[in-house]
Amino acid sequence: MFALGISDFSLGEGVYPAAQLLRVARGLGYRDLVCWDRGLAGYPKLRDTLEWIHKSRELEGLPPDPQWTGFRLHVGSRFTWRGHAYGALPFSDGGYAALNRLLSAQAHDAAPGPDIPGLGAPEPPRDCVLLAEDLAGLDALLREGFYAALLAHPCRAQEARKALAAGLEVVAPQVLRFRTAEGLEMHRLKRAIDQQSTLVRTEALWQPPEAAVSRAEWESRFPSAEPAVEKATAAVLERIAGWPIHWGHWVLPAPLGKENSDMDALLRERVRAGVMERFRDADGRILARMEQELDLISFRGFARYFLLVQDIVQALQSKPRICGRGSGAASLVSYALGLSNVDPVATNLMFERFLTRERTDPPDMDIDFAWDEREEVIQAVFDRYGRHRVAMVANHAFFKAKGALRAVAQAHGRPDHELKQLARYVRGWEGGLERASENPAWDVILRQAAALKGHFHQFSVHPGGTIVTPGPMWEHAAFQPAPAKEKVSTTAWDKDGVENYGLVKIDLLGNRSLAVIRDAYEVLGDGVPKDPGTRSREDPAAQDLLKRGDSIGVFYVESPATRQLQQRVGKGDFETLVIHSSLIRPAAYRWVDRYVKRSRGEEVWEPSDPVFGQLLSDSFGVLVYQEDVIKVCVELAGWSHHEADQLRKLLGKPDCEKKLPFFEARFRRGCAARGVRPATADESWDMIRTFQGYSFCKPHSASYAQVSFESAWIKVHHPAVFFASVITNQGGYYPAIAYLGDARRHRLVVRGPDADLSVWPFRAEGGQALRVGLMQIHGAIKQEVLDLLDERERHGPFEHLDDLLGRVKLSVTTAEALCAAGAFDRWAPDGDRTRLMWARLGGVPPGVRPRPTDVFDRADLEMATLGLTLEIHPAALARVRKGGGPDRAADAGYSTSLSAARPGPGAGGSMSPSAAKRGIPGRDRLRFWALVVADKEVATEKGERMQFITFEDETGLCEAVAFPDALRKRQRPFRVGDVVPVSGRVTLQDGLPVLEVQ
Amino acid sequence: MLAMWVPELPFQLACGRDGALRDRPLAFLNPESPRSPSLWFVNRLSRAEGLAPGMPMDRALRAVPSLRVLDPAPQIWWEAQGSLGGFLQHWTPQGQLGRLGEALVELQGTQRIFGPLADTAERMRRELNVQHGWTSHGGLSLSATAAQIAARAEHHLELVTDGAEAAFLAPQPLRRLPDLAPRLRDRFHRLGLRCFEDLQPVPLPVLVELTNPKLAPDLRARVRGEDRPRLPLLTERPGHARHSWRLQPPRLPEDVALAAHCLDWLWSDPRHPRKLVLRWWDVDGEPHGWRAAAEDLTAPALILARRIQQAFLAKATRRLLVREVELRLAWGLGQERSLFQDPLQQRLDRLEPALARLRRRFPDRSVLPGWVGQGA
Repeated sequence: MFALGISDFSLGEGVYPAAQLLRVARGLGYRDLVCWDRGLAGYPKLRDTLEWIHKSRELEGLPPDPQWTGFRLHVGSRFTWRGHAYGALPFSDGGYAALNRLLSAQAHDAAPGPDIPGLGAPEPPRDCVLLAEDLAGLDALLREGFYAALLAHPCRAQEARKALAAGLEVVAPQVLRFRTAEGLEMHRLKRAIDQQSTLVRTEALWQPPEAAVSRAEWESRFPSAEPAVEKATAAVLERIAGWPIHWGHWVLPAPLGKENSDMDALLRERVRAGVMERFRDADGRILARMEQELDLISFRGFARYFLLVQDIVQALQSKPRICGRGSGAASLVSYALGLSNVDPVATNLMFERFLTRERTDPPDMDIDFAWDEREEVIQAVFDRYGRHRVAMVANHAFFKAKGALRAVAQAHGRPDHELKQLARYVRGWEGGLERASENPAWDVILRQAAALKGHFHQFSVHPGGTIVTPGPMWEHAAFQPAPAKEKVSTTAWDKDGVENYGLVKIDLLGNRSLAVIRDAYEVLGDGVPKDPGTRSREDPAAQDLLKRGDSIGVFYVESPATRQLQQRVGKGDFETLVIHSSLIRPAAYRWVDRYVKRSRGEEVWEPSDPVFGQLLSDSFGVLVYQEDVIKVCVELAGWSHHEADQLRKLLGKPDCEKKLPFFEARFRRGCAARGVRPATADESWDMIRTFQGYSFCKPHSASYAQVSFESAWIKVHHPAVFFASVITNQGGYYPAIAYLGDARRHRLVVRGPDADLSVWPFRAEGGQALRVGLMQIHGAIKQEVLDLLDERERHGPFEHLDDLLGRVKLSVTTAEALCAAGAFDRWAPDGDRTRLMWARLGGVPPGVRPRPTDVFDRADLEMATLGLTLEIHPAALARVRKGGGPDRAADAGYSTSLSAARPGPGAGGSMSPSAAKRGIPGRDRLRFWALVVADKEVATEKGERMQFITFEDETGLCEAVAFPDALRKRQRPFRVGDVVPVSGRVTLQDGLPVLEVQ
Repeated sequence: MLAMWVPELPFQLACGRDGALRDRPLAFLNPESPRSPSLWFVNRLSRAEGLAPGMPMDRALRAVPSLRVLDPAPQIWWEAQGSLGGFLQHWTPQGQLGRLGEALVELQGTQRIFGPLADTAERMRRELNVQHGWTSHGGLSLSATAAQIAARAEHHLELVTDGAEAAFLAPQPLRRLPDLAPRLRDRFHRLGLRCFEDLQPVPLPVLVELTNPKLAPDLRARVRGEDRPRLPLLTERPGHARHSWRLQPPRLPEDVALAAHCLDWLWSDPRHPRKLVLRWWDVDGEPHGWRAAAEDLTAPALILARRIQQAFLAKATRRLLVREVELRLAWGLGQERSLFQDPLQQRLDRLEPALARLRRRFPDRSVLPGWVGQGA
């Protein structure tokens, strides 16, 4: 006998998350469970959970749990056809494909999506055991020539009797819907959430008699107890148990048009050509490495994978600007094929980090494209391989505390303002939920939300994960139209499900800095060195810029935390930046102080074990990269590469806390067996344990560092082009006004928008000036502005404002926005924009005496339309208007220390008169007006909110921290774009001045 | 037209209750931030001391130790506004209540009863003070805008004579123009138009281009003091009734016992309504409505109440709580009667009390009045 389990992946119905469903099935006495959701989305999760049950025992060093030995999971799905409810249990590959085809066809019929060639109309699948949920449905199937059986229902015994009397087959596996009254209530709640209705208006689909009972009780009831039914049920189980789903074997498609080629030979040929092109004088070392890599790839059978990725990358254009992510960047083969941007030989990246003989899963190859090209690349892949062979990967979103609370509160009909208030309480972290219990009306809601946490919520689309299958997609997985994304299908499975099945995911992601570099190089033309990668890495000026932390706008190293790290370590070479790019990630960041002290020689690092000395000498004994975890586990605990990689993967997952103790036990056992001292094991595990969250591998860091260096090179040598490109691509950590502030500190002149000179994007004017683009003007209608530019392009510049208004039809709104932003200022040398504004209305009417615009009005107008000011800094404006704030941001010492270290461009920081009067700026109380240009909210150990803030005024930047007390007093956090009065005390933290907001 | 302005009505109410609160800085506590209390709004003395709405209470108390922070009582303010309406009804039937403490009434035509308008306005102010203890200010002008701005000037009674409205308004900043959209105010500001006098000479076609054809004439009249709006009645028209029910706290539509309340309301006047409209507002302030069909109106009260409830449940589909419900009834009586009344109609009218008793006795039966039977 077997059970049919409905999990939380049956949206709006199922009440059991995977682990609970398995426990319930086993607890009721079953050893065979069929996944009985609508669709197959939940199958990988169930399978993964079952595998973890066995794996955790293995990690603990215990024999397999007899309770779970022999427990089997089978594939099945419910579906609706012609208004009747059915279920299908495949018993062959053909049946599985037919079921996927049916589910995909139904999903594409139900929602607007792309037309899939060959998918056809939804038909009941052949090669599957078909079960009808009622007699009418059974009748409909039988009439169409399908063989099917009736699935007995606990409340409809009469129906089963009728079918038996008619000689029809009846099977009676128990359907596990819910077990208790709470379960039924949860079902109703999920229905209400799914239908976006309230609980009081929602009726349950299920009745109390449908509650699951123990296997013995079920089998003693009619119709299970009927010998014919029992026999038929056993026959179904025997049939489906004979077919194992194809799981865990890699499915690698060949590149288009090369299906019949010898992949190894083709790869070898292309790589050799690529190496010759990349390295003009390839020496023996390079050739030997190339051959070694090719041999290994051939041994593992991954040649077609490399060729496929190359085919995809070149789908749009022959030489796109890309940045290889992931461990693939360590491969010379990738570099030769144009799949990565960093030379692994010159940057000393070891191939072993990428592929080893022991590695079972395919290498990780993620590609970044310029952000504005990515969508085209993805569509090109769909077009090239056909929409029946390509799908993006889905994301499975599970309820977290905040989302669950919101959903339950909505189902209880709580008003929007309460939900908004709640969102304010819990903003940024999960700890604030306790405040909700202040309201007694929320008791039930809180209880239900706690129960809902961890349940499947909805599908979304992975940012870039794309899979290609050798044949039609439905032979491997069901797919559906992507939610809120046109012309794209997604798999029903998430990335873990897809990878566990054996489909290879290729991440095609967007990166704004690649567009920055592309645009800048386009402007520079011949000014770009031949090999910009190597040139920028070795450029002393770029290294110096990074060393100073003067890297606002530079890819990946512009955040205040990274800039401070660069300043504290005082190194700007490539190797250091590779370490820092990874160290700044959440997983490794907690060890940053230790790293800084050791790198500066302030703390002596003596490896507690010689293994540490070998493995972690680059990073002074700190775990920085993902593979450091692998190396430590392999060397100290004697794990295989595969095992260590499982731990590495786990560290980035949300269920890490739950599963980590099992790995710890195994790690300690392994260490003990190899005679590692307990203190060393403790130290290692301590570092591994805290290495949770998002982290990088070294090739990934190197790849990013390469892009950072190219950005830094442009910033040092062509700052005007650099800032124009950065702001135009709107990518970065700071708002446009902060980049312009930095541009001014690099001695650039920022010129306002001009109807005769500005173009749509920001533009460099010569080497020393930057012109604001018309794209920045809010409120102007885009098409009208483009028409204006087009007219100027065709018939030359405008002579005066009336000429412009005569040649281009501008609405009052657009004319007003352009004028307010200062785009017509060239026709008003006195700066009076009011007079210009009246021009669109036919001039100032008689009797009207409009007030002229003064410098402060102009600043207001610019803030409203451009989000930045050109003549007077917003902080200075506030100071003049509201008074107070005798000090300046630069007094905190940051800019003065920068300018002392940097006599060249960018020495914008200057000491304010008040500071000069007092002497050296430093440990002092400061009061000044400032613009918030960056804020980062974090939680303290007690769960309280604190903030790191970057303030700016016309004198420079000031890094600050607001502790919970200060934030409580202020009542609300600092937000980017606020102009605020700041008062605080300057403290030195590791030699860098930081303002403590008071 | 007289604009009445009772400044700081909530604070005046509080001072009326407790004399010790007079002449000291006061503030109301914000009801939406229980954990970290902050000020909701403050009186003028507090403002002069540097306090402002939104300020944390502990900081405000440190800055101004004599500050008294009061618990807000919106229900009392609401009732006070209603009392203001009631008070004004004694003087004139035409008028409109504005924001808290604000009202605009038409005094033209009352001269024969109360004497000259300025005297009437002054008496109204005095009597409001005597009856309720509220200090108020008035603005008297033919133009509604001028009257409102004159009242806001707080000169007890400001009189803007006929023809002097434009001159009176000219130096006022444009931000004082009631109900001027912020977006439009910004546009005027950018065009260098800061005061009424800047906007007064702008020709209508230009104003149309700056705003829209519908709004421009009205705006022009208002800034020039030429607006003469026809104000609605302060009370319900005879023959109409309005039953409103504020749900405290707001609740789900299913939890609103509407049928029982409707039955009470329908029985409060035992005539058959000729028009019945149900309106409700949810907690987001969004209004909803349902109008009974003609055939529903002939149903007995019990059935009609149930139908109202059903219609309400069917239409209240937003997943939100309901804050307020209102039933509007019209009987069609109260209309002018001709000098020579139809004797049949008179007889039927005399029958009404008997019909009412019958309906109460047989709530589930249709007891129709004579005129329905006649029409049918």
